[in-house]
Amino acid sequence: MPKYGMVIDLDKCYGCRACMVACKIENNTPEGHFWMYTFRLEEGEYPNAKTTFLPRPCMHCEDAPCVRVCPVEARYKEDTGQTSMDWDKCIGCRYCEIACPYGVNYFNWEDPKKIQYVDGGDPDLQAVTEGARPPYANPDLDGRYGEKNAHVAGGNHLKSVVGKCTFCIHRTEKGLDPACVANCPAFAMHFGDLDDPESNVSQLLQEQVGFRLLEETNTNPRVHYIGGSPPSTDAHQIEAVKGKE
Amino acid sequence: MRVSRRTVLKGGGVLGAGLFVTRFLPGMPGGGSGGPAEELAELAQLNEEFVPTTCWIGKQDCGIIARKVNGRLVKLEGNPEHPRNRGRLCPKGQGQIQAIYDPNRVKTPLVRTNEKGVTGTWRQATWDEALTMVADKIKEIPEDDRKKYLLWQKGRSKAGDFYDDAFVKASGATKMGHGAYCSDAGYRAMELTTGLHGVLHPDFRHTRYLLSYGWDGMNGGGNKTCQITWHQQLIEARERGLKMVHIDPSRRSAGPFADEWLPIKPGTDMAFFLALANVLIENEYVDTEYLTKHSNAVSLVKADGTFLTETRTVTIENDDGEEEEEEVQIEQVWDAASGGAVAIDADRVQPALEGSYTAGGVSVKTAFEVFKEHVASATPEWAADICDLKAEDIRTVAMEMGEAAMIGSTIVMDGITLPYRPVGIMGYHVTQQELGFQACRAAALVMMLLGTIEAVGGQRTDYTWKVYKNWEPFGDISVKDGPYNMYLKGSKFFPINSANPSIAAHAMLDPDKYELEAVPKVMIIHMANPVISFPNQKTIMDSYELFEFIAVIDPWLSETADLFADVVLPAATIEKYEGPMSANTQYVDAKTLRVPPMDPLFDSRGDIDIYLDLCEKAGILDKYLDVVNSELKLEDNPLPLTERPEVRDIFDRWAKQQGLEGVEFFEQQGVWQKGDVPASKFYGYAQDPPFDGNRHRFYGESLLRAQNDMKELGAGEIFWRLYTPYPTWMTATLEGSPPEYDLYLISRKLIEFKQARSTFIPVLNELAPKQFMEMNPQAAKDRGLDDGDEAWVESQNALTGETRTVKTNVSYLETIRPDTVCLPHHYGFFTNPITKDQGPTSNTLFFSGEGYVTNTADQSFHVKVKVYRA
Amino acid sequence: MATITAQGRRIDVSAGLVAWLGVLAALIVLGFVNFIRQTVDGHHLTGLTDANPWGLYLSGYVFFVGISAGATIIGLLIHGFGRKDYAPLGTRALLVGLLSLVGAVLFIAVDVGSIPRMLRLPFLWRNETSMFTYTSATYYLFGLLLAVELFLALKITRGQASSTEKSLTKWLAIAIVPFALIIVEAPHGGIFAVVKAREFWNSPLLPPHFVSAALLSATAVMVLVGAATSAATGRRIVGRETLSHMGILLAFFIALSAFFDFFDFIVFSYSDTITGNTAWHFLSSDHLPVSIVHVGGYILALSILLFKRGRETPWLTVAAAVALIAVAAYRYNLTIVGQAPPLLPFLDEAKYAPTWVELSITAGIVAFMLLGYSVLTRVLPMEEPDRTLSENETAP
Ligand SMILES: Nc1nc2c(c(=O)[nH]1)N[C@H]1C(S)=C(S)[C@@H](COP(=O)(O)OP(=O)(O)OC[C@H]3O[C@@H](n4cnc5c(=O)[nH]c(N)nc54)[C@H](O)[C@@H]3O)O[C@H]1N2
Ligand SMILES: Nc1nc2c(c(=O)[nH]1)N[C@H]1C(S)=C(S)[C@@H](COP(=O)(O)OP(=O)(O)OC[C@H]3O[C@@H](n4cnc5c(=O)[nH]c(N)nc54)[C@H](O)[C@@H]3O)O[C@H]1N2
Ligand code: SF4
Ligand code: SF4
Ligand code: SF4
Ligand code: SF4
Ligand code: SF4
Ligand SMILES: [Mo]
Repeated sequence: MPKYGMVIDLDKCYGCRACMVACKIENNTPEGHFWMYTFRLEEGEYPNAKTTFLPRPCMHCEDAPCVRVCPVEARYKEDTGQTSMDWDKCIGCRYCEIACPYGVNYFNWEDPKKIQYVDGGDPDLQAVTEGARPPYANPDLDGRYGEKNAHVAGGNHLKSVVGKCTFCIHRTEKGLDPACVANCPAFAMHFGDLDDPESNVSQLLQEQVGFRLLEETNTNPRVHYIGGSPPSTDAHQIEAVKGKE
Repeated sequence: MRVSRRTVLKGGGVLGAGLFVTRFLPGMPGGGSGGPAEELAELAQLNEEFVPTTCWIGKQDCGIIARKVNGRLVKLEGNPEHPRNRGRLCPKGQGQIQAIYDPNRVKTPLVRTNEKGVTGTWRQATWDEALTMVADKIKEIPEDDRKKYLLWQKGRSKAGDFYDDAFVKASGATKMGHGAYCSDAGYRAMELTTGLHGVLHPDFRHTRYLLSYGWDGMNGGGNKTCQITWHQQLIEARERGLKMVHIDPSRRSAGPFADEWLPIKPGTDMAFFLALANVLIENEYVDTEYLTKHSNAVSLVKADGTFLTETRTVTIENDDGEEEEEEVQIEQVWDAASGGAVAIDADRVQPALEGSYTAGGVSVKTAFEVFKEHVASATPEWAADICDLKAEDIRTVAMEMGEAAMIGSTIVMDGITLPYRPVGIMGYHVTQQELGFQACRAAALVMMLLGTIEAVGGQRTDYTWKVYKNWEPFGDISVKDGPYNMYLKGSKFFPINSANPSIAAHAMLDPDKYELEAVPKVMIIHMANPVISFPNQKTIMDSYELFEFIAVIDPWLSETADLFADVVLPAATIEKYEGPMSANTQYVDAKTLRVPPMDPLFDSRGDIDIYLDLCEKAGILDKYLDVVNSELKLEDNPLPLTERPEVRDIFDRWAKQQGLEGVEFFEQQGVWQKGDVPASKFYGYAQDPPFDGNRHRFYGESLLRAQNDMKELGAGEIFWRLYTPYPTWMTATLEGSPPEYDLYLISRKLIEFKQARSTFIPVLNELAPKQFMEMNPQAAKDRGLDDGDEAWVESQNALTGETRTVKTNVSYLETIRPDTVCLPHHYGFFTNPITKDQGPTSNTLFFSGEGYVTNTADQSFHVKVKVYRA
Repeated sequence: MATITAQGRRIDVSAGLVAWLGVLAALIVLGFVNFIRQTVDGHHLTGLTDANPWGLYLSGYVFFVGISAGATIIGLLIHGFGRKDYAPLGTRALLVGLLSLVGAVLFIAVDVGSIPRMLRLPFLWRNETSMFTYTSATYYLFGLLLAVELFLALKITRGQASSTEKSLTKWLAIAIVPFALIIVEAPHGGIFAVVKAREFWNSPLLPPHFVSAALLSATAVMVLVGAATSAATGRRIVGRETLSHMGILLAFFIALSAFFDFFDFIVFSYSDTITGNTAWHFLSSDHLPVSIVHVGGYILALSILLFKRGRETPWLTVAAAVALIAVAAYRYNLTIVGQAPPLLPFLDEAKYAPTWVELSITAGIVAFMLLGYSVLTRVLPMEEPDRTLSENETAP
């Protein structure tokens, strides 16, 4: 079994947010939900100010606090290292959101079908898309995946359950890279088997000293950053995406 | 790659998402997925298909693989075979799937039912009716008058063979583009200086020192590209140790990639470059060999600024192929060997690069000598004052560049020994400022001093080596007396002319002043939204009121269409054949086509189809096809001129002409890889003779001659003052605004959007839902403005005193000069419900016309403003 | 004024009572309508966000669980410490406990995304490492125990209890207290305390703190119950000395809770982690008013209780009301301020304000409990009929 992990090279990331959009289209996540979020940050004062970027998916923590607190085992670790969430089981208590130190969980505050960007209700459109919502709805997401053969893919399913980055389990099972990784124009993101010392990700981590977000919380994230440095406390966001409120 | 396969997804539950909706009532438990029997019943067979096509939003036509399931588009992913994007897409490339399925597209042809100038009311029409209306308007104008009365206005379009060439030629229209708003000032500067078509970019694979001159690498495209390509090359270059110095009022555009940032005051780049030249010359970082052999820096200049020449009679071939004798003026140089002035092309001449001489009783200097004197006072201290930079920083940059250029070194590429000068500049839209043409020339002169033009690792302009058609005419700029055509081509006002629609608007509104031959009557607008994209909004709109008839070809109801169109013809988006398009990255050559992943949605049609139908109705189909045949070089299998072809068939013929099996090649592969560009096609230095024997115009003598002609014809100083042989610092017009207009307004692109053609894409819109004005926190606080506060921005035209005002929200940005505010492009729309109330376009604030254009009729995106609390 | 008869007992129905019940019923209906809206439309009708996913409902939940668990000490006082003078409050305390538990569960129910799925907890679905699994299991048990005890108590008040039942009641009343405080209430502190991402919660002191706050709130409620009963029946149900004793207990629990608060604040004001100083969020403009109610309430209640007259009516009632509001503020602040510090250093403080949907649903649930109490205390026999009044119980 591969143990998947991600390596994000901050020396390459140019904050383009293509990963955010790739994730949204692939996973049909509702408006305001950013399973991948790229922070654009500024530090210092003019003229000694600088800009940095920090993409943030779910960390797929090895010791995932969200898994521990989920009362119904809707959250669990896959053999492949992914933190999965069975949206068919989630009771919507949002304890995972509370427990996760990274803020990567999104509750479906509304019926996700209603807040899927394009008005799929347009009759002319329905005629050509057979009413799929969103019109580009990805049929893969309705399948069952992972070791529990459960509903763990995609983000467009139910009101009142939580969703988060799945590491694109519906793609990794086909042997594809996650959508964000596969699309990064800067080739800043890498995905692979952290247990295999020969894998692309292991090699990168051997070559460069990386860091992980909030190491001190001992969540043991499977997302590593190389290049750049951990975000400083002086940093503040620019061009923040507020999402739907 | 059009793989059709029937896939059975794992474990069922894969039926249409609709099933799930009914299964889960609000708050009800799930788990209704039933037992294995039910799951088996749900096993759905998916007909999965992958169609290669290209991004239709951006200007570099990134390769796309469209994933289709049961005939429905599900995802657009990058095509790994496409060298420009290597399998990756920018946010717009990813998000455009929503635009394709946007229910707010224009679904059928529309005919206006109310007066123009206000939001339109429409009735749906058949294609036949709508096309006939447009064709009749064309036919109403006698063919010979069409240049005067029929205007074809395009924006950032593709497939120029079909539109710009074939349709414009067949219809006889006058064509105006978006170039004067984009980067044409830089194009004109480079065409005049080196003969290359483009602005500035480095030879990324070999460059070690990059001056990023207003390059918005994080958001915009830089020279010629849209987004991804340069960025990928920059990253690789940085891994090889490239140093990047960013010259820009704002650092946002360089993100974390700037090793150094010089926050230059807007509009002062020319002074900066002149100071670089000053330091380089003082420290003898001068590639004398290049200047002597390949530039006119050796030509002798008389006291009046013109060249010392000799007259020679040459035999030339005229248009009819007959030989003719003509007298030409040949520049002279000082021959060190013989100690006299001789023709620049004389045998075994050893031209002196420096010195003052007397030749035939006339005192002359080499052009280089003139330049030395010209920049002698342009010290870093002098420029520091103008640019509001530190003199030592300017000096350091100059010294570093001088060092990095490794003047004298060579490198072997593909077996050819070439000069190695790993220093380059990247700059594009930044040339759109009043002094932009000359600032770009100043940048080029710095690169010429270092000998990096077309050297390995050095300064590049075009993707490959190709002398552009303007090179010759720019050696002798013609300045004519009126009357002039609608955009004042060849006029005493703008003899080098970038066909600026705003200039045309001013001319239309005051035809006497600009000696206009005629006010145009009919306009076809194609892939452009001038009301939003082109400054000054008010002038553009006022002039559009004067047209009798306007047709707009657009997939959406652009604001221009909404206010001014009589007829709207709905174009398809990605669902059409279009091309052929270059996929060149400068290093790899490739060609691609846009292949429709599905039929045009609703009642839209591909643009080429629209033009074919329109030409047929207007009775000009044969002419149209004739040009298509010649533009596509369909020598072996030309289109019959009498019959309206299928668009696919045209591309099929073209593909076969290229030696491919046919259009299926593109339908399957997407991209035709032609391979690496060899050094011999890449570097001007690798030509035999180098640069095809052209001597680059270090000294812009033709500019001075044009100035003299303009003066003679009575053009005002505002028009001729920038026609100087060397870039000469002068205070920009906008500095004449009263002191309360104490801020510079600039503009830039956002990575999330493409010009005026993607803001309505909801997933992108969500990322940047409102116009914002970037402002240094200190400057904002001084005006009592908090982050997010509403503020008025008022611009002032220093010449006419007019003011324009918009309201927007302040957004703090530490990485911008305190005297500068920036309003990104891409806002100010109102027809698509998604873009309503997003805040203004900055093009309301920028002025057009004198003082706010370059000498080459290119729009400036600078203006002085004041900002105050709303 | 009307009189109705229930189970052979005559109940006086005053116009005031009818109005009171009417108001409660109206609040319940309003709350219910909004609950339906929230269920159909989604929780976006609340002020909750992904930055602040828990709000008023969660604080209502912990507040009422606290009262429920804390109310068991009345039984302990009666049966464990032989304070027979508390006897008139015994059945009422059980009723308060049971109703609060039901209310608490209602709060959780309106908070979660799916009630039917929630009801599978912990029988079909459970994750042993989750505090919620644990607490949900305890509700069933605790509710059962409370119900049994109430059943027995009612038997006693009806004079139908056998002596075995009486001694069973006694032992149950004593045994339920450690169960309520340690097994039921402390884990509610645990729900928060185990969340290491939320620095302010992540403290082993939180479970004991919760217990002390539970006792505080329950004591205050029982003082109010006493006062309310006196007002309704026109006589004191517990005497002056009992009241004074409750005042002392209340003061003690306030002091204990304040002690926890104080050291929490001190310890966290020294914390200096990546998200900065958590404790100071209490003093930020968004949270200051609630903090003032919380701390100010403790100080005020304690000041009143320090005086002998403060431990007599009407001051005791005032002190209890103030203390109860202060605990509510504490529960609210703990929930909300705990989520305020940004998770990553460059994020903004999370903001939350309940919407009127939340307020009305909350009011509806509270009204439901009050209605239940108002009706049941009248319908069911709360005191032994043959009980003789002690001398300190006589009318003032
Ligand atoms: N303030 C400010 N203004 C600017 C700039 C700036 O930085 N700041 N940038 C300038 C620059 S660099 C440029 S190049 C110009 C560009 O200006 P334009 O060329 O006007 O802008 P586009 O957004 O490229 O084109 C707009 C129209 O083309 C339509 N369109 C899109 N696809 C198709 C198609 O396939 N067929 C047809 N028929 N129509 C289509 C769109 O719906 C839209 O209405 O804007 C300039 N304006
Ligand atoms: N995402 C996205 N990409 C695009 C486009 C788009 O709309 N969206 N448009 C495409 C098109 S048509 C074009 S032309 C290119 C443009 O590509 P670029 O030229 O790279 O991009 P802009 O954003 O127009 O660049 C404006 C830059 O000039 C700086 N600047 C402004 N005034 C001055 C000045 O006086 N001096 C200096 N030194 N700097 C100055 C601004 O701060 C900003 O960084 O982008 C292309 N790529
Ligand atoms: S797509 Fe790549 S470069 Fe762009 S923001 Fe995401 S990680 Fe950074
Ligand atoms: S990042 Fe959060 S949601 Fe993801 S595994 Fe870790 S704790 Fe769970
Ligand atoms: S919201 Fe769902 S996934 Fe999260 S803890 Fe609750 S039940 Fe588990
Ligand atoms: S791995 Fe997949 S789900 Fe996670 S952020 Fe990337 S695209 Fe989204
Ligand atoms: S918008 Fe430009 S960079 Fe983005 S995918 Fe399209 S062509 Fe490529
Ligand atoms: Mo452009």
